[in-house]
Amino acid sequence: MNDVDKLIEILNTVCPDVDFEAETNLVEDGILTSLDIVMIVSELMAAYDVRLDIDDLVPENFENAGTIYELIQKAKGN
Amino acid sequence: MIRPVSYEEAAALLPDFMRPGLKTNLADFTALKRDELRILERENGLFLLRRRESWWLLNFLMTGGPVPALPGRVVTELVSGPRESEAALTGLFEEAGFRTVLTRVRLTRPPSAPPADAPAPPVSPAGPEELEEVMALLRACFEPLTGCLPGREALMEDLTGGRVLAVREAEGIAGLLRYSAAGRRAEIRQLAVRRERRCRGLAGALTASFLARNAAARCAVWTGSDNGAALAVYRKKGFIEDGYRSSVMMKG
Repeated sequence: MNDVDKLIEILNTVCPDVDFEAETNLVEDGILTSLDIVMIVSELMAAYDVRLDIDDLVPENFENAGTIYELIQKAKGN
Repeated sequence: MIRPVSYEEAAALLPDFMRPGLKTNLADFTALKRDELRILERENGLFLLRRRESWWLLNFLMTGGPVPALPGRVVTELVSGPRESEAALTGLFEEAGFRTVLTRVRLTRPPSAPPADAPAPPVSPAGPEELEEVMALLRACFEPLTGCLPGREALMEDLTGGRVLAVREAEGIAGLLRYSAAGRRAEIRQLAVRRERRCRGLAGALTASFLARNAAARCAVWTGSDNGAALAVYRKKGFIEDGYRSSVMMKG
């Protein structure tokens, strides 16, 4: 399982009815709500042992699996 | 111990309480900047009180019970999605003295052309100079404790941005619709029609105008689950219930 597959598995535990592999505008298209983002961040911080700040919870960081992956990589210092 | 807290300090603390299995009703973090805040930190979560006129609005980030004892009149809203049960969370708040005073459902409408029927009577944006009149109509139509009414500053921003639509008659504003919009999403925040002007198509005209201005957006609205008149208007305009619901709870 590669890094993106692992990420999608985590995302699916929070939002099982969202197709994170296909959707590219999750927030702009109204698929993810602000509350979903808070739930996702809570799971990601624990799964990757990183800390995200309130300033990271902007819609553009959560539009698709790719932008979320980039956010995690940035938080890990990669 | 409940203590005053600045937005900056609260923002720095919040990530510490974002843990797996989180239950929260806090999504719009930037809205906290406008509020006088009190905070209570507990092992099971963080409880944030936002001052309103004579009560406190409660946001929380918690991973389990109990809900602590909170002084004074406190209002909170528990939101649940189609795959969730709110019963357990509601029970925790009931044990802390809260009772449900209102239940809401969310209706959504995918991006699509607005209904063919033209808005009539005419609808146009209200301006900043109508702040007092708009505020008065909102207060006349919504319960201050549960109506999610905007403060003056937020309402002025909406008026300046053209996000308050109004129907005007000889006596002034007879009905209005306030909304938010971001990207391809738009949400009706309040739809208010003066009591004596109801059942004349104003709500439908305001909703149609909102949809015409946001035809490319996925539109949403929260309304009382027993508000038959509002549900009928929204359903007629193509909104359908999407399974999201909320309970407004209050103590004190």
